[in-house]
Amino acid sequence: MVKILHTADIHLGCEFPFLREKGVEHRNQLLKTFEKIVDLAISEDVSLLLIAGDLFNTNRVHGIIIRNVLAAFKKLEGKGIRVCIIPGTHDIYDEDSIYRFVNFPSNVTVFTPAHEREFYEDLDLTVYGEVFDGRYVNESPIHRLSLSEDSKYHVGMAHCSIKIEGWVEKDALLLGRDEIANSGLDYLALGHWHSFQDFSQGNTKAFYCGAPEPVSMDQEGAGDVAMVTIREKGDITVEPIRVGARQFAKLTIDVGSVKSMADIVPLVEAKADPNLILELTLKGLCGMDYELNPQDIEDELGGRFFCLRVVDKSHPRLEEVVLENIPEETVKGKFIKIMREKIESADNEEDRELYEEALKLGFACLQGRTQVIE
Amino acid sequence: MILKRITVKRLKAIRQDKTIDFSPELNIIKGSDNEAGKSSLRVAITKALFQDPTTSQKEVLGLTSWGTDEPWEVALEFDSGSESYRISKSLKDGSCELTRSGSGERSVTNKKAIAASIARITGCPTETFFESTACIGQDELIRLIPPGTTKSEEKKVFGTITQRLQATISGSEETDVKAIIDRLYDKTHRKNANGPYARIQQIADKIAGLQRGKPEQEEKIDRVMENRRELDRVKKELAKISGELPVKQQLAEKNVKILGLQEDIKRDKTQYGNFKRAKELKAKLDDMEEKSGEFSCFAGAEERMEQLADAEMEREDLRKQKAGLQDELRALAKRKPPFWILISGGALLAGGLAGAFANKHLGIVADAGGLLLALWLILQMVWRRQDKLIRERTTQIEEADQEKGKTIKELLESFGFSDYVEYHRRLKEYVEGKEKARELRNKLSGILGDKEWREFEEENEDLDMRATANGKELQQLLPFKKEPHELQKLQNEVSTLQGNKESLKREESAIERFFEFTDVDTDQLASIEEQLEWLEKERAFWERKQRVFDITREALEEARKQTLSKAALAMESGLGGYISAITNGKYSRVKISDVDLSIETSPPEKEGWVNVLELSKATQDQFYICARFALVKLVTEGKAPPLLLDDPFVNFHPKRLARMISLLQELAKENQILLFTASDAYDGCGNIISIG
Repeated sequence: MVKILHTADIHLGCEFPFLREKGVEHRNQLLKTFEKIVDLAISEDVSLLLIAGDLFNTNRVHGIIIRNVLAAFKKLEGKGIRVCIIPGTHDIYDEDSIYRFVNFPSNVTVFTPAHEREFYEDLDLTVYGEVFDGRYVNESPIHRLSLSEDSKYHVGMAHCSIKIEGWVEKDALLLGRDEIANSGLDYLALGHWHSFQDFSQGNTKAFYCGAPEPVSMDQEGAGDVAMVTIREKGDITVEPIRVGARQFAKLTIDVGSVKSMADIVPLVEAKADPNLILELTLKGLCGMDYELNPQDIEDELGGRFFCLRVVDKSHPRLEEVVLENIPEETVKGKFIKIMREKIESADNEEDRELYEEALKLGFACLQGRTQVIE
Repeated sequence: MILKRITVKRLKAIRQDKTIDFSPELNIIKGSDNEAGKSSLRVAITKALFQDPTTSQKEVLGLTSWGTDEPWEVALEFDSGSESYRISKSLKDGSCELTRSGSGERSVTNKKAIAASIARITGCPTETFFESTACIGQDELIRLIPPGTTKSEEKKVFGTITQRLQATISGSEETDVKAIIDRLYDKTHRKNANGPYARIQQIADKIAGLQRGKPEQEEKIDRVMENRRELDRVKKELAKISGELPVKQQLAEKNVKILGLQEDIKRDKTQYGNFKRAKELKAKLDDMEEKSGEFSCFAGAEERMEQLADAEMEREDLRKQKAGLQDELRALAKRKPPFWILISGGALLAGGLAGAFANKHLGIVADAGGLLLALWLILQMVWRRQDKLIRERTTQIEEADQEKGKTIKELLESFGFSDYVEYHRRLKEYVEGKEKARELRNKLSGILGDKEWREFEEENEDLDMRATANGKELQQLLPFKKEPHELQKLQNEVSTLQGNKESLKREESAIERFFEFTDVDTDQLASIEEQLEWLEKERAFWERKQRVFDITREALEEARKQTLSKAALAMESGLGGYISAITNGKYSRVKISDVDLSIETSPPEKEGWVNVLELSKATQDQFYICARFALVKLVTEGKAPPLLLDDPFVNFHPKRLARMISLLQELAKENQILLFTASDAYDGCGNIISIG
């Protein structure tokens, strides 16, 4: 039996401007989670740790990240655990590749164009990895694959997208399902997509393990690594194991269904989690008589999340302002008329939204709610 | 719009169901005291027109009369144009209904539709608007602050005439548009106003701070990246050299080996020749040694040989001396004193003597003859002595010769020879043989060096085999053989490559030391870039916000300008007549500023125009009331909502009040007026409705 831990897309060194002041903390978390994966490999006594691309978010990484990664690999070396790495699309194998400069311990194999397979005699297993060097697009990551006759088990690594007609038809490296089925591989460790997904075809088990931590505001499925157990040819199980500390979630509230900020608070509070990165989108039409201030929501509820980002995509319910009902000889009536004209004659959506917002702001001020500008 | 009838249930002071009918013009709603229900009726009218009956606002629910079981209800009947309407609001079940009677009766229960209809009919879109335009309370006049008030809070709460008039045309109750515009301006132009401008400045400061630190970090990381590329180049070159150098080194070594082998073979060949020569010499020497027995008499007889040689030499020398002496004798014999001297001397002496007798002078001749004789005698004596000495010496030599001959003979006999010539011949042979042997030995020694023959022989016995093996090896290496100049070039290349390799190793070591000791951490730059990115987004957010503020401000300024301009015109046309009526023509001319609606008039006691703020408080109130009447007409756009006056003239002088009532009666022809009062001053002036 061979036990393999499969991870990818850790993106060490990634920047998180959308997390603002929490960016540094989450960047440090990536390193902690990587170390957690290493500890998991040791505690589960795996034979191999596969890193299917984008271990680093960029090749311009130096300092503490490199030192900690080397220390972790050294720890694995002490336990006799081998590591296979393929460069990805962020830590691409170009002339500045980080993998050209770092002297990894002897237990680490970095796949390069000159080194596309590694045979582990004691495991009777060969690992294959073709590397994207940035020169071609839409190429198959296993087009040069030729299985060794020296080993019983064959494990591939690829950092690519799966071709899905009408949805994914172009990427740096693109893999067809039929290619998976015909590969002859026992297991294909995939990276590049950030959620745990099964793309097994034929006799080949093929999985995206997903990113162990979310690295952008659209990764609700991130947080896992894949534990691969090869008992015998054709008898392979793949299980996700949760390692991520943080989770990402989206919440959309139609402001048309709420009457005030007080109605929004319990909806958001229901998701409260100190490790959750929540993107709250306010959409729909907002009443002219109350002000939705994203900053207020972030200030009030932000402390209950690792990070709360409020995106206001709502629009003022302009039909509430019936000009015919507001005498034009008043400043309010005149103002609404001016703004209406501006909105109607706006050249683009951006200007139109600005004018809508200005109308809402001026309207609120004329209603006596001058706190909206304070 | 003319209110006709209202039915009120359980609203504030009106606990019992109450229905009141109104006349179309001036209605005096009169109550004896504060609890009579005047205010409740006024509120009931407002709520009937504008209140959302589904509200949960406490202050609205709180209008229900104390002690009653159910919330308030109200129904209002009114005419507008040729249409008659009935509107009802009930907090009891949250219902509302607007029914239009007359031609095409129609009933609406949708609260939004009802609100829209009421706004259209009254010219007042909201309750607030209605309250701030069509309703005038006594507190409004009280709250007009006198000029010179400096407390900003008072100004804000109460306001000057112009502020209140502007508020009236703002469309909202007590909204100071100018203050809003100023505040918006401050927010987008002043750092201390805590608005978009201040935020943008703060963000710009932060960004500038971060950008100051960024180049240093970037430079450090660029240096790291350069060193990485350099290390990669060095490693590649080292790998290339590591591939090239051994091949070239091996080739050079093979050529060196070839040269070595060729040298060895040459040396071996020479050595082999020497060996052969040595063997020949050795054989000759051995042969000579075998033959050396014939000359055994000479062996170890060097002393005797030397004695013999010396004796022979000495004898030869004696013989030479003897021959010399004989030569001397022969020469001496030739030098014997001639007899002519003796004869001549004798003759002369004789003749002289003879002559002397003849002539004494001839005695000289005798002297000469005597001298000649003496000379001859002397010479004869010397000659004889020499002859004797030579003969004696010859005798001695002959004796020594005989002696030496004897010695020689004895010595020759000791060597086994009787004849010195034979001895000498054999000795010569012996010496020559010995000399030859020495020569051979020297030659052999020259070949052997310090080595003994045995050792030399052992050393050289496998020379042939070694030469053969070297020859074979050489044959194998010959395909790699380079010409001398090529080999030199190759060795130069190897040397260059080795030099380059060492240099690259040093470079590699230096770069690795750089990486070992550099304090660069990309995390620091990542933090800066991260902050810069979100600060830029924040800045964009606040810039957008600033734009919204600016757009709002500009639109408000434009709206205010247009509104004030029109309001000024409307007030000028209406206010003059009203104020003239109240003041009995004292103030009939007015000028309204289209900038702030400030009112100027020309009082009879003064020349020119004065601001009404310079007039008495009571006069200011009257100007204000008249201006309000003028503005109501303007802002309600001829919809003529009923005017609800909550005893605003309570402090008027009776004479002016009388004139005001006349004005109200006049105004009521256009706008129905409901005057709520506790005063009897209005009795007989209109439709009196007593409540309470």
